Amino acid sequence: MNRLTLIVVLLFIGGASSVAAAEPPVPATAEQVRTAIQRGVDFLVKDQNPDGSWGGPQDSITTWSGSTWPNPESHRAWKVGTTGLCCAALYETATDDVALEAADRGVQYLIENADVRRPNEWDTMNNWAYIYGLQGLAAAFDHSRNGVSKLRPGITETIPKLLADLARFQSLHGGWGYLEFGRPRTRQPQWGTSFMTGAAIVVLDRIQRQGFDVDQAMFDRAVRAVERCKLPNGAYAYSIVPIPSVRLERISDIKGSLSRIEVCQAALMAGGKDVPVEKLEIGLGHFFREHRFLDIAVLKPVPHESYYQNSGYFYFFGHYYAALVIDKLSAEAQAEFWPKLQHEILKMQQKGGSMWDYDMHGYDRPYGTAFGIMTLHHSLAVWPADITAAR
Amino acid sequence: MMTSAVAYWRCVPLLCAIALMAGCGAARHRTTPVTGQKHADTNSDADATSSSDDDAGDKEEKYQVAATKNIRKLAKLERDQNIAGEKLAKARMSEAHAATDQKTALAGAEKELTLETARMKKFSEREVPNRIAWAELRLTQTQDRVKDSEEELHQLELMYAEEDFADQTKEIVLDRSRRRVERSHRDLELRHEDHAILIEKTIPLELAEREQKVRQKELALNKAQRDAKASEADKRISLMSAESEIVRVGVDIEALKEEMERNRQDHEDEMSETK
Repeated sequence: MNRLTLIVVLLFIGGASSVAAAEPPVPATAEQVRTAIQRGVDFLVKDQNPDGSWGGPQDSITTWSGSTWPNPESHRAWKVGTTGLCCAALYETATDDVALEAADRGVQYLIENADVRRPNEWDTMNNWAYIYGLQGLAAAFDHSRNGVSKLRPGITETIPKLLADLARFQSLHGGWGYLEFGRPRTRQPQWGTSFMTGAAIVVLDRIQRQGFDVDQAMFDRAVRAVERCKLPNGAYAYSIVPIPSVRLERISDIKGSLSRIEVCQAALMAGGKDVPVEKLEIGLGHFFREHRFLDIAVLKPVPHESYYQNSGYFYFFGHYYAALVIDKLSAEAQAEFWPKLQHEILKMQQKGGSMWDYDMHGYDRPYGTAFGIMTLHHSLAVWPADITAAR
Repeated sequence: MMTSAVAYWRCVPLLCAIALMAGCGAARHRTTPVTGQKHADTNSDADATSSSDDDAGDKEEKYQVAATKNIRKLAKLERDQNIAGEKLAKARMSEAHAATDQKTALAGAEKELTLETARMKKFSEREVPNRIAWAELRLTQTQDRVKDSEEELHQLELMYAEEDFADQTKEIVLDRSRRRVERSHRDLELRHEDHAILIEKTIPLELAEREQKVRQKELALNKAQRDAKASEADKRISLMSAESEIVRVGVDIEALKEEMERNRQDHEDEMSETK
């Protein structure tokens, strides 16, 4: 075969594969989705620490996190947050006793370790512990097995405590953040992010619906803060600032805002704001059309090193909140978006059932798997009859 | 005995002169009556006729003294001739070197002037407008910062007006923003002053300095050209002087030799008459 022939053949193969790549993925069957969820559940059960928690400062394969986060309280915050997510995932998706008992042990850990402090003047990772600790407890509270269980008192006592902590650390701008930058340092934080605040609003809404006393002023401030992050291009600003800015090729571009759009839209709906369905669908359209920017960022070790400052850990977080947004759409729209979402989650599942998007000590696989199986679980809520009917 | 000793001692300078002449290789001929033997012969003749002998002795002695002086003079002139030759060679070499040096100095001065003129052109045509444009941009950016900080403060005040929590933090952040507004106003004032200094003082001063430098280079070139001409004349004069010196010494030598030959001839004639 001469060189010209080889080039022609390669171009043909390349063209054929491009055509194949452009075709929509074959939709997963409900059975495939259920199997993936079960594999995720099995992984979480297996990955649980003896004390009932998930994650820990071990197993980092890169040096970035290790050298930057030496404070044990940061790790305690992440451990509580990861455990909360794993508990929520198991209560929402698991049906077998082994998995639910694992969730109970996780809740016991949350009850016993809810007192998470601010690690230092710069680090406010404790807010992750409050938000996802509450999510785990809220899921436990909702689950039928805990209605009369011995965990019930602990759950009902710990939720108000975490709510109080969340109120104490609400930033001046109305949201929550994971670091502090402004000087002089203040007891009340000054910085917040749209996505962390969005995640908090979603869980606060749930807690409120469960009958817990959520400070309405705190809640309203948070919703206002997320609203303030709306940008004219349809994206949401990363930080809650008085005057947001949009810069091309930066994180405030749509391509850097894919996951934030979903969590912020979900939060505004949870906050009682009327978000038009068209806006939700436009956001999801961006999410799947520009999804490659989330894909490219996966497992990149340095935060925001990818295009449009995407980070690996945007991935499962964003897909989970995209599921909450899809939940609100019509059956026809759900029929369009669920297969796409399932595809993006299923492709990430590892051999042992875990899912991960970023190397972060021992937290990455449990939090990734928890988000992943909760996302898949939501996609089954109208499965299969409604989707089939819609199709 | 006494006469012989005197004659002997009288012969010593003569011998030295002969030796010197031989050493220098300058003596082209020697006078016949200057050997010790001849001198002794003359003395033995004096024994025969005492008065004529005394006269002849005096003449001989005078001749010998004069001959010795002339031989020394000739030796000196011949040394002077050698030195004058070396001086001429040096003058020629200096002239060649000076020509090269002048050419280099002139080329250097011309290049310096060209460079300084180019620097002046670059400064006045490109740098000055660019610096003024940058200064204006910085001024505008500072004005923007003033506006940004004022707007941000206004937004913060609006945001916090509705909030009933975090009073201390709120005041800290608002105070910080007010300070930023104040500092940005002061920053703008200083930048206005800087801009005025740049336009009114700094740039005109630098332009004048650069013009002065160009003028200095022009003067340096003119001086180099004048120096070259003067140096050329100096070298030409030096060369001519060296050449004249050689001619002069040569003429002196020839004249001396002729005189010495005349003296010898006269002396021989006198001595023949005396016999």
